[in-house]
Amino acid sequence: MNGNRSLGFAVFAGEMRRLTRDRRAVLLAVVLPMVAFPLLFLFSGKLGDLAEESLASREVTIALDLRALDPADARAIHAGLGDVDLLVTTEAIEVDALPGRDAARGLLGTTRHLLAIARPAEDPDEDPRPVLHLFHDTDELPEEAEDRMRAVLRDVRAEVSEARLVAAVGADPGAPFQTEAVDVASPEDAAGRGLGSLLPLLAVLVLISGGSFAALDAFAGEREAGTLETLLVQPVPSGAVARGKYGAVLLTGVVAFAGNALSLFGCLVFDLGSMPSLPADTDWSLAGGRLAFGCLLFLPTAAMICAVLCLLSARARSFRQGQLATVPLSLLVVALAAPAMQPTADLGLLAALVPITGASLALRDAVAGVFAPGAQVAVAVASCGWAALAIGQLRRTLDAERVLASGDAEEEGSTRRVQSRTALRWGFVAVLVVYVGGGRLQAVDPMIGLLLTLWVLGLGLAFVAARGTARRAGETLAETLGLGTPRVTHVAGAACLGLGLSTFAGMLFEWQARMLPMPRRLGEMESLFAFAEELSPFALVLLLAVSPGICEELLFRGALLSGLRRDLRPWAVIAWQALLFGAVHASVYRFLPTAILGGVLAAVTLRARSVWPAIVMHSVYNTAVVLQGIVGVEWLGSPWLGVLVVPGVVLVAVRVGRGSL
Amino acid sequence: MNAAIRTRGLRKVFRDPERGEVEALSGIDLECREGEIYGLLGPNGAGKTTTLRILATILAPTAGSAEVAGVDVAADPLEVRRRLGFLSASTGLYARLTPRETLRYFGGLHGIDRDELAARVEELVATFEITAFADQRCGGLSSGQKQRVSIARAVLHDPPVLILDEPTTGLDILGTSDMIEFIDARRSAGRCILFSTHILSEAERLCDRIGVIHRGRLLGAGTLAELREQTGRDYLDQVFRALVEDA
Repeated sequence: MNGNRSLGFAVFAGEMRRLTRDRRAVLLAVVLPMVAFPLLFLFSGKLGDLAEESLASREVTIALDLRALDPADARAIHAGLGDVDLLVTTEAIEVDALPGRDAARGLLGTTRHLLAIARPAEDPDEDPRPVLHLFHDTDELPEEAEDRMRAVLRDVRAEVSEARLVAAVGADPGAPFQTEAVDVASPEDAAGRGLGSLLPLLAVLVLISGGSFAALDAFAGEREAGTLETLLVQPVPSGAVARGKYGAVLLTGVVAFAGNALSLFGCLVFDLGSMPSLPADTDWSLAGGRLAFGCLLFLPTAAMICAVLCLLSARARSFRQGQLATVPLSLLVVALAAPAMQPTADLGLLAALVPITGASLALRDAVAGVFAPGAQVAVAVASCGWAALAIGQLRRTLDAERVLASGDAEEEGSTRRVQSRTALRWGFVAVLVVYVGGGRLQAVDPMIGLLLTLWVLGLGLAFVAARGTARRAGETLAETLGLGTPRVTHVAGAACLGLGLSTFAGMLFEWQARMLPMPRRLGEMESLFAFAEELSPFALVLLLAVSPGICEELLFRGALLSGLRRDLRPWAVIAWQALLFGAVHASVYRFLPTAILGGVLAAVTLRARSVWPAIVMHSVYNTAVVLQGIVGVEWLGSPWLGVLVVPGVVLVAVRVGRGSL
Repeated sequence: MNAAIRTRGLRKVFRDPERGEVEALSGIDLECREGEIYGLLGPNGAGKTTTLRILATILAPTAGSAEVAGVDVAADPLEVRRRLGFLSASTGLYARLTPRETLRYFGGLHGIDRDELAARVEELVATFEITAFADQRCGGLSSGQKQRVSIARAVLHDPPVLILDEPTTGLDILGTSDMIEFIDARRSAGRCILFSTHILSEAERLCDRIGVIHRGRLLGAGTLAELREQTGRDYLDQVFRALVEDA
């Protein structure tokens, strides 16, 4: 055993010697983590100042119609507006004559950023209606104008209310009910809350960026260079090789994490940067102790993440393939650590058992000075268990036969992998084109923009990508797109799945809203399509359900899946499909539901060997969501519909003979 | 002479996800003796590399047995690795280590005592004329220089058996010549060398005995004279063709 230990150490020392001589490894594991915060503070401060100066120095134009207000109140508003840098025009705007949004946009024109219209009460016995703000949110200036107007109205309202109350009753009767909040938390607690909500996410990101290069170099890189074969014919047990290499990766990851945490701490202590919730008179020695305890709790999770990085790298056929595999891993790890950013997410026993999530919550709480011994012990035990599992799996993976046996097929494989590599490139192109092109089109006109995005950009990309795959595979375009006739059972199963999953989507959104709440403004924008109220339910279904069902499926489950499935295993195809489909929807708040839907649609297509069931499933899913969310068909929200998933899975799982995909 | 390498009914089946079970070796019986150069001759995909990898304990046999220097490869792979040196065309060197560090690193993995290792490294550096570039990083060496370092690495622990998988592939004329000299020198030192090649002239020039392997089966084995007699042909390429066509 001692011999094995010294051999493991010899491998470790060799790895470290090579890593410390690699500029990229030093850059990723030492330099970047150390300078990231100083640079971030420096540039974010400068950029923030510049942005603030720039915005504050720009004038906004607000057109006011305050005829409905008491003249004294109107004067107060004018006086308030005089304090801010505005170009104000006072004019009569007949709001009741406005027939709709088009007329409002016409009134705003290109020179006005906001119309503020005071409206009288509809009935003399009722309160006056709120001041109407009309703006066209095309850039930051209308938003800025709205914010300034809102602030002025708030101040004027408070002053006017108080003055009238005092005038009426001689004193403000509400004064005893006003509050004056004093936070008695110690500076260390306040500092800990601020740091704790950030640290878990930073920890996993730095661990992955620092450890991934070391892992790729130690396994996939060595395999590619031909040195792994040499190493595995030395009289060293594979366990010792795995331990030595893993130790080097772990040390690299921990160095990166420690360097990053220390640089953050240093920036705050020496006042190089500041965070909103950190008071200036913080006792950093106490905060440092808590930080050290939290990091200790997080150490087993760091060990597990490094082991998973090694596992991925050991299974990769090349350095490049290993790099590709770390992308979905990074997203998964970030998603698991994200709940720690939410103050409402508690560290319970169940959360303690979830890898990364439990440790992230424990790190957050430890840094914030919250000590819950039971949960923290559970986290430590569970994290150690997960780490041991990953390390054990790594030792088994580093079996010479497994690592090298497929070497003879490498040449043939590299030719075949052209299809999946090309499909992935097209996938990322599609995401970019939809972000940039689709975003621009929909900003100009949401409805026409959506139609053009789907039917022109989406279908265009699908046909171009599929044409290349078809040419390389020697098949027709229809075969590549999976347009062969499907089985009736698969179509019926897909319809059941679409309807059933739509109910789970609602639950998923609710859960996500608790764990990662959507900002109010974004929620308002995303909750309803602005043009929805102008369309009939039939047109809505055509536009928001059938069109995406056809166009997105032909692109993702047709053209892209057709390329991916030729070289990759089904789980990898499903993972990439989930990632790309989640990414193309361009919202972190919708990523999880859309990624899950993308993965399920890919699984259905792989099973059915035709794209038609996916088109049906996607259309049915979107139809249910649109009819329930926009039209208000309540029975579609019934949880009982979720039962349809069972027959859906059974019908899709029915064996199929030769298909066309 | 004693057998340094012996295989009996060696069989290897790979499970390919697309092609199902692929039989790479179908019962190979092989015997290489001490102080002998044995050439394993065969076209690409014949099973040469699989045979050598089983002997080097990289692959596990599906059936049959294999012994290297009297040790069963399946029963005690670590002891087998202590007794053999392995070098293949795809063998690489750590780009960021120098030749001297490379030799020290692998010597450490063989458990060689520090003082003994230092002396051995200097001896190899001198023997293989590495001195001039012994402290330069391997990544910047020429292919011939790298080849010399790889050979030194393979014989660092002075193994009784040397297994070389197509050792001259990718080498220039001088590199090939160095390799052939090295193989010859090992035989003179009483070591067993088993090497695979598809270059007939190398086998003809170097080998004491030759085994012809095709589609996972050993079609013939013996000295060149014995193979000529067996097939009734004069030249090795004709012998090879005759054995393959008769199979």
